[in-house]
Amino acid sequence: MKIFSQEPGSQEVTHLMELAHEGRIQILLSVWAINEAIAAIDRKYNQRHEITLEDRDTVIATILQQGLEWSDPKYNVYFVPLEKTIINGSITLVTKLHISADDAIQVYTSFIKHCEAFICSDEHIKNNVDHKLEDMRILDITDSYETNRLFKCIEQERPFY
Amino acid sequence: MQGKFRVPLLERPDVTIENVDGKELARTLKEMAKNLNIDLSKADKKKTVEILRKSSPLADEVVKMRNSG
Repeated sequence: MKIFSQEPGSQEVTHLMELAHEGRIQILLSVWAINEAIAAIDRKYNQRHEITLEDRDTVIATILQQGLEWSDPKYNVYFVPLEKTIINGSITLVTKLHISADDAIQVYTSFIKHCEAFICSDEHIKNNVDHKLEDMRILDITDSYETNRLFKCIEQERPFY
Repeated sequence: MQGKFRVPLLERPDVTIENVDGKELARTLKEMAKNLNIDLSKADKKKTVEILRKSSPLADEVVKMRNSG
């Protein structure tokens, strides 16, 4: 979403995508992220009245089309299905780390897939989850110090933790 | 004794969850478009950037949405 929405962290996310396309990293997303993105766009239309219905549908079409583009493995952007194991396992994070059920799905998906870093722009997740799940780090994409460290690790092919 | 030892919060289950196969993902996304009555030919990256520039940050919207349940 940050690729299309020019906001803090957008440049960094775009750079991460470029690194994935170059084959330097792999990016994993839960398929749930697509539903969430569409729900967020709909709120802008239906609740906030910030965009028109036509605008909403253009953005949804673009999100789905972008997903279709990334369905080609050459981009190194992979979607993880919402399986029973993820739904059942992620609930533990809700009560142990006090994060929302949606956040728990995203975090648990990264954990179970052995991701080195979970990238977000949410202070609550950063504060509640970082250093709690083995060696998977939580990175706030708007934190320039952390993000620069990540880019340096990728450049030097070193682990992030 | 030097060093810190962390007790893992939860065990990582020994299961393999494969990524969605590209073809299956493409099918899913097309099905979503059909369910939402969205014409994929209307996808327009430039226009999308313009639309989103006029409104509040999208990622913030997701965070609010997640935290409000």
